[in-house]
Amino acid sequence: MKQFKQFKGVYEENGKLWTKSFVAGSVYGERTVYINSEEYHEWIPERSKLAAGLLNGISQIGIKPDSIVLYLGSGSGTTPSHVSDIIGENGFIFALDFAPRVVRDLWFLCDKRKNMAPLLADANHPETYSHLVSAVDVIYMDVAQRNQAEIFLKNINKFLKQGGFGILCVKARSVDVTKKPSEIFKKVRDELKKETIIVDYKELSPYEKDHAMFVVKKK
Amino acid sequence: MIVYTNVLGKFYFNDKLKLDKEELFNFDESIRNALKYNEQNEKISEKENIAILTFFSKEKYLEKFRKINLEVTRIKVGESVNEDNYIINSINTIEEITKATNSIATRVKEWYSLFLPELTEKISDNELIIQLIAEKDHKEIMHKLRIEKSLGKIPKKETEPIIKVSRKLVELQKEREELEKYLESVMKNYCPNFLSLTGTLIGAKLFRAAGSLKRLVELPSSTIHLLGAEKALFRHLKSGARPPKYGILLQHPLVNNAKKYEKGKAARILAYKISIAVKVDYFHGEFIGDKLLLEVKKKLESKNKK
Repeated sequence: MKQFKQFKGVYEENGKLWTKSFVAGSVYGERTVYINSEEYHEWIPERSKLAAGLLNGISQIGIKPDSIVLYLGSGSGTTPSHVSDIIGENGFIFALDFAPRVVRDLWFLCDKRKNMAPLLADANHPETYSHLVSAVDVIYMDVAQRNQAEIFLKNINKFLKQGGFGILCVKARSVDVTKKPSEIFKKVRDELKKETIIVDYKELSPYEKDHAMFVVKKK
Repeated sequence: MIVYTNVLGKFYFNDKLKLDKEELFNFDESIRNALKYNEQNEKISEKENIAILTFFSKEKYLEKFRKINLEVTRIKVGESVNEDNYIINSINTIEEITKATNSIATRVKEWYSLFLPELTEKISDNELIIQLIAEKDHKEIMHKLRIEKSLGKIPKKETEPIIKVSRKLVELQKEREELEKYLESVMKNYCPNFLSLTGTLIGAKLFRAAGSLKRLVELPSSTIHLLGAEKALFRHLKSGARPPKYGILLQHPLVNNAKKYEKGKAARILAYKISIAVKVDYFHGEFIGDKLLLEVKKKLESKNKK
């Protein structure tokens, strides 16, 4: 088990990605191993788009030990649990999702992890949670909405520190099921270019079909 | 001087955005502030807003944010449970019970036909077979169905386990009927206009496909028309194959009993009126469900006459 490329807090072994468990125990059924009395749990790219991006060669993500993260679209906490591992005890995640059913599961995860807080809110209306959060080093967004890029930029303008990183997962089918994915990704790129600096872009196949990941820096 | 209020308290910043004074809320005040809609802070620029929010990214504040958000989210998740959830869980459970009882009934039929194969030969309805096995012994069944001699042998001890299982199945079937009654009562209270157009089971299935009453109100009637036919719909949108004519609504008696070439129209007209009905329900209007159902029937008749 060694560090994965230059990414502190991310490990690899046998071509698979792992993170060191901040709190022991499997979160969503993934495998766990003990090495030198430390628990690692497997980071599966088919279940987590961030892992897929890393394996496909994303060059920087901005998420590292001590990072403060705003996670839009946390779901039940599959990927957030790995982000929580990476940022460690001095980092923090504001984990937000819109659906009460998944936030219920997310709540229990956050109760166990001192570096996570759950929010039931709509990322399209940041004014409804701006009193509940601080500014962050990284905004990670994975919501399947038509106006994903717009929501992303709104949150960046309100919550991302100067020089902070934004990571946007784009699901082509959510934006427009009839258009070609490459067209949709180009449109998103043009929208992002207006207000941010695009530092990296990777498509997520074979792990996800018609998905892409953009990494941006705040101007 | 900028005064900024969030769930942590009231903060006074000087023009250089350094903190002059902080008035921290206690936990209860924080929660109350969080649950009200966000207070309007004075108009501050985006840059000032980020500078102030960056100030709050210190560990001592993050700890408080976490405790407050855990409590606020706990409250919000609890408050989010409503009739939409009851309806969807009811129909899911009803369908699951039906599946399970059918599976077990098949086993019971297979097993009992070792002893009295004529029963499954004469009767095809699962529920009736299970009821007979549960309530009558084989002599009574043979008498009732006028079977004189059986192909099988019927040792009493060997039929006891099957009879016990059948009795449990009958109980489970009764539970399912009770659940249907419960579902109907929830819908009668929550969406009476919608219920009178669709009936309990089809209404609940449409509900589940849409997700909530609010979503049903927001959907165009063309979507309601095709709820349940998503596979065919997206195939049509992506590849130009022919579009579907109905989804869940095909099960509705008015659509099912229509002539083959009119089922699509029937489903569409029903969807139009359902669109109206859910809006009346959502905005608590008068009950017009009967009227709407009559309008659907009239429209279908007039199409027939043409």
